[in-house]
Amino acid sequence: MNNHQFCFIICYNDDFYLEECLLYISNLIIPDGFTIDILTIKDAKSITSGYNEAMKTSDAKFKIYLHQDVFIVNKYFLINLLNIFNYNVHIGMVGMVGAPKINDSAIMWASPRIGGIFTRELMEKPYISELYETPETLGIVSVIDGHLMATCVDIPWREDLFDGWDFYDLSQSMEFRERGYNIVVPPQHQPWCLHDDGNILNLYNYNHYRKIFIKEYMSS
Amino acid sequence: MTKINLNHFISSCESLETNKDYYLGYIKKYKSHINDSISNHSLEDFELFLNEYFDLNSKLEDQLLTSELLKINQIKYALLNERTHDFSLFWNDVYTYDELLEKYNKTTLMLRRLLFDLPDVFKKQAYDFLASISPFIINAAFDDPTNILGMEKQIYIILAKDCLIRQKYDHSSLYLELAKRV
Repeated sequence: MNNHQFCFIICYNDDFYLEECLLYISNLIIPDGFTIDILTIKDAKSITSGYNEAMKTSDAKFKIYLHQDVFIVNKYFLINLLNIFNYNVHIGMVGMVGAPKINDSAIMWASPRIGGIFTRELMEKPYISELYETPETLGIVSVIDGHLMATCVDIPWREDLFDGWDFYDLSQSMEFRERGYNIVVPPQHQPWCLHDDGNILNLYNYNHYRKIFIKEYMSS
Repeated sequence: MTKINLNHFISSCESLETNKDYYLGYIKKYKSHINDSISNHSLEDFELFLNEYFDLNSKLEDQLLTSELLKINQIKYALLNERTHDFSLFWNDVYTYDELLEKYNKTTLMLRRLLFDLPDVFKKQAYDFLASISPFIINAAFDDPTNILGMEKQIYIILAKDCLIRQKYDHSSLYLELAKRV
């Protein structure tokens, strides 16, 4: 395991979006003594299978799983991530948005959430990259949103159950918690990432995987 | 962050799951018609099929809503304005649905480069691309409910200045007009 490397893992199906995502990554400040690696998986069968394949390939301690349409706009992102993981050994995963509690229907968007999401109102201010040095203000959450998930330990993604593009994030959050890790979300004066998801999600398979999630993690 | 109405959301998801093939069938059919209108550069057909699609979507309680088709609908408004005002049409160099969407997405991504702290070389690429398209498509991108963009007035002013330098005076005056309206 390479304790001084960050690996960005991106499943993609759009070359243009990937290129733009990588452009923002190239603009990040890399902490002294660290390197970065980038693994991309084109046209993966499912996001979990893509992530598992990449996870096994990389020996980087710190892995950042993100969507092709996520742009990391905070130049200090990697330094901030290191400050967070170094703060407490029990922190296993970091997200940008998360819910302290998940409701019985397993729908994160219907639960109070913390973190940073860009809205049109927030885009009206000039952007200033934020250096985060007070990890004691971290929010501990039950689940995080999958647009960006950063880990310091490798735990297999449940491609046996979540073989599509939904609920892989909530599932992985549960897998981390079941192994005793904390999942955290940092407070952000301005969001550290912009997720260009178009505001309208493809939810045709959402209910199918929601039921699988409830059966696997919430039925006891 | 805003919370959604839980019961309504679950009901909507269940409907999407149950009627998935039915809804995807409609989307596929209309995408094919729209693709043909783009290939032929027939603005009349383009407008007709999009209007039909969104009428149907309303009748089906927004179950056909996709961010892609909302974006394509925004392009429609820009093309109609371009034609009215005798500007070069945004779709002149594209011939498929995917190519049109890619060019529009590129517009949004280039606009966004102007909003964040990126090296000058990337911003220059953005300025060069944005100078090649009309203010109408930029305005459509800002009005697009699926887009996360900001500082609209400031961007119009910056682009007006850039167009002046490039001697694209009609673009420049239109950007200033748009800036006044924000």
